[in-house]
Order: sequence, then C-alpha cells, then structure tokens
Amino acid sequence: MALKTVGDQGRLTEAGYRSAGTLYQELLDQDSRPVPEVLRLESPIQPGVTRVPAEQYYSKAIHDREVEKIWKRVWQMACREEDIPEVGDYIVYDIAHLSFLVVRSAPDRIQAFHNACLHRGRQLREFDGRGAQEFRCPFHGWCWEIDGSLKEVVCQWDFPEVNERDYHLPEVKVGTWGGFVFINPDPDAEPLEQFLGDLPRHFERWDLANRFKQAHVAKILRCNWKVAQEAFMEAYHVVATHPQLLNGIGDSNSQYDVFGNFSRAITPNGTPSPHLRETPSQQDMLDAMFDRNLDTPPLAEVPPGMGARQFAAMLSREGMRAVIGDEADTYCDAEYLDSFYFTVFPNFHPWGAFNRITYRFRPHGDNPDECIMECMFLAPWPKGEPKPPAAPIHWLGPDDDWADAPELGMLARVFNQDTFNIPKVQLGLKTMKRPEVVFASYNETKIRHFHQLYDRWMELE
Amino acid sequence: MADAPAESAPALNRPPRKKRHPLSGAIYEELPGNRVRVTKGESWGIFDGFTTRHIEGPLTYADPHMIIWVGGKPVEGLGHRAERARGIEIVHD
Repeated sequence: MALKTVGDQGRLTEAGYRSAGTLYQELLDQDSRPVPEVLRLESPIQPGVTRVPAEQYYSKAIHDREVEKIWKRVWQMACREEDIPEVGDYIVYDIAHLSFLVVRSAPDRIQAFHNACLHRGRQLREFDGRGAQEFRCPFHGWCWEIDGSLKEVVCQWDFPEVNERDYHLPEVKVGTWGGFVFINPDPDAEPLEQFLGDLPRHFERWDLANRFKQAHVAKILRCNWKVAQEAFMEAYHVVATHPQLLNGIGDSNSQYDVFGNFSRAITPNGTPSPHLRETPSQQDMLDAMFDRNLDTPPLAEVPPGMGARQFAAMLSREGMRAVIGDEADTYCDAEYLDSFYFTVFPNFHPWGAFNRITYRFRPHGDNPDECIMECMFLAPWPKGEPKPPAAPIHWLGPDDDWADAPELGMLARVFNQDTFNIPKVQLGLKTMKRPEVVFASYNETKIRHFHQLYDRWMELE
Repeated sequence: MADAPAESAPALNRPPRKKRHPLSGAIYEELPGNRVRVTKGESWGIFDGFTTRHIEGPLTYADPHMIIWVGGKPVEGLGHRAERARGIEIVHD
C-alpha cells in the first residue's frame, strides 16, 4: 500500500521532484529590485537518498578517526580577526584533544602554533588572552616569543642539544577569509583560497570582513557534533520543530545547492509553508514573522495592495538604512528577508546577506556524545564610526537555557526548540533497530553533500 | 519533585503568549508557573512549559515544540516592538 503523503504534495519538475509550493526562483521573479546573479545560480546535488550508519554519530573509534583524518588535515575556522586585534592578543582553539594557540604576532601577521611546551608537553595556555609578550610554560618556565622562536630555557646548560632552530614552536598553517581566521595543522594542505573555491564570489555583496562580532554564544550539547550541525542544515525540520513559523516561511520549498567544498540553502520568508492546507492572509504571514500572539495587536499592518514579503523587506531595508545609509537601496527584497545558510566542510556555517548568524560545531573533547555549538552574530556598523569591539564568548552549560543568552534575541527561543530534539536524537541513534539513518534526496541536500565529503576525507568510500 | 499547582504560581508580569497551531488548530496558552494550556476541540490539557510533561486534563499529548514556544523561558529585553518591526529579528535558525 502506498504511503500517505503528508503536507506538501510535491511535483515533478525538469530538475526532479520538488515542492508543490512556489519555488524560490519563482519568488525571485516577484522581487521589487534586481536580483544578484549568485541568487539565480542553481547547482542541485545528484538525486537519491543517502544512508549513513548510525554508529558514525556515537562511535569512539569513528571519533578517533575523525581526529586523524579530518581535524588534523582540514581547514577550520579558529576565530575572527577582531578577536585578536592587537599584537600579542591570542586565542586558544581546541578541537577534540588538539589545542592550538592563534596569536597576532605583528600588526599584519597572525600565526598559529601547537599549544604545547616542547619540554614536557604542558599546554602553554588554557584561556584566551591579550597583549602577550611571550609564552612562558607554567610548568618549568621554558619561554617562546609570540612569533614562536625559542626565547629562554631554564638551566639551558642542562639541555646542550636544545637550540632555537629545532625548538621553534611548531607552527600550523593560517589563512583568512571574510574576517575569519582559519588554521590547518597539515603542512601539506592546499591553500585556503583553493579549499574555499567559489565561496568568496557568493559573499561579494555581503562582505563579512566588514562586520563586527556583535554576539558570540557557545553551548555544550549532549550530542555528537554532526547530530547538532545537521539540525541546522535544512528547513525540512521546520514543520515539526518550529510550527509557529509556518504561516510565514517557505520550508519545503527552500532551494539547495552544492559547490565543491561548500553547500548552500536558501529559505524564503514572508511566504507560507507549502505544508499548510489553507493559504494564510498576508497579515497572517507578517504576524508569524513577528511572532504575534493571539489577542494582541499586530506589530505592523500590511498596507493595502502590498504583500507581506514586500512590506517586511521594506521595513528591514529602512531599518538597515540607519546603519548602512543609502547603500540599503542596492539590496533586493530577498537579501533582506531570506535565509542564505552556507556550510563549508566540515563545520563552518556562515550566513549570507543581512542575517547575522554564523555557526560552528565541534566535538567537546574526545566524547563523541557531546559537542560545542557556537553562534556568532556578525553585524554591520554605522559608516564613519570606529569598528566596535568583538563580543567576548558567552558560555552556556548543557542544562542552561538559551534564553540565558539574551543577546541572541528571539533566536534563543528558536534554539530551545532545536536543542530539545538533539540529545534525544543521540539517545535514539543507539537504540534504533535499523543500522542507519536516511537523508532526503533534495530537502537534505546539504547533509548528503557533507557526508559525501566526509566519506572521502575519512576514506570510507 | 511534584509539580506545584498552577494556581499558587505568581501571575505573569506581561501578556501571556497565546498561539493557534497552524496545522492542528489547537490553541496553546501560557499559564503562570511555567505551564501551558492546550485546547483542542472539546478537549484540553495542561503541560509543563519546559519539559512538555503532561500535568492534568484529558488531553495527555500535545506538540512539544509548540509547548516550548509558548511556555519557555522569556528572553530578557526582547519585545521592543520597534526593533522587531524593523525586520532585524526575522529568524528561523
């Protein structure tokens, strides 16, 4: 007996099966402004579902392999350039059991080192810091300059073979893009520019280097890092996890594309979910976007003759005008409204246009059942004013509520819905009878693409 | 630990959140004491707004994510109408 199709009934297009709702390119046709060429790009993944063994999400052996095959070899975002604005500023970047010191060693130079003393191996620093003039090991006092050259050895007469050439702090590769600092522990790694491929072209209009870090929240979650990030790589979950949004979000009619080492999703706002049985009014769509409660007046009323999408874009454009001036007129409605969420393999998730989000997900130490989820807000600042300082990281424990980070605004409550699921996913993966999970051909494009790259890096193909 | 009766909880110092589920049509309404009342047709239930656990009433299951949305912890400082209307807070995740 055929399965009953719930919600969006789907349709067959020239590109394959897609949502029965308005497709994203059709929405762009209705934009009040010219649409940038990158939004017209379509690069769908090959059709077909992807199955992934459940143990990839909880096996310690898999985690250990990830360290060797991925984290020791891949380009990974370590921090923002404005996290270390002055010479001597440094951050400690930890990934699994690996630890790196990322330091601004000169006004225009950032270096990164394995964070361990070459004497007995003690971590040189455990916390981020400012204005370091040296890195002295707290154990026996060996000391390095901030550019990694050996400065002092206590009782040097007792180490006749220790010299500056052999005992320079081991360095790892550093690259920058969009105001982010990336490191790669693999000395033979390809250049960052080559790894990122076409990504900079997608962000030409939304230069993340010209944003400041307005907020940075990190939370420990009781799930594998892949379980966590895969919850943020599709809009397929919105119908069940964020039902309050459905009147004003195009979930199953999102567009998904893959490009080399990165993928992109575009989820439109100000348009109804194709899952709804009845089309909501334009006011209903706006109310959903602004989280209006029953029995309360609307935050704004859609003017006669205007759609919610166009009106919300207008409001957003006028809001941004206060920050970016008349440059606000050069952006189309979609750039003010829609969610453009990219994933750069393996764990870096910058968002495009004026949505401020950037995510990073990483293992929490060597426990495959825990991870660290981070959300940064990157915002433009008023022209002619000095760049505001970067927000310090705000840590939340596994039992803390996202609402304890009010700097995230309404997103904190959205995260509470997401993270209500994911520890239960981690438990369910260990008890499910089938040995694998399955990802949708189109709506879970980004996760499928991630696993294609993951298998290649892990040499599982 | 037993749940404290909702009647003894202090009143909310803001209008309660109240939503209609866009798919089921059920009404979700915030009550004092981190509780959510769900009304679906003639049936109703009261649920813990954080854990979604059923507390009382003939309706013993409702959409947990809608319960969290209506009953979860408020975000301090959120609700500046002018800022939200600017569209800055158009988010899903």
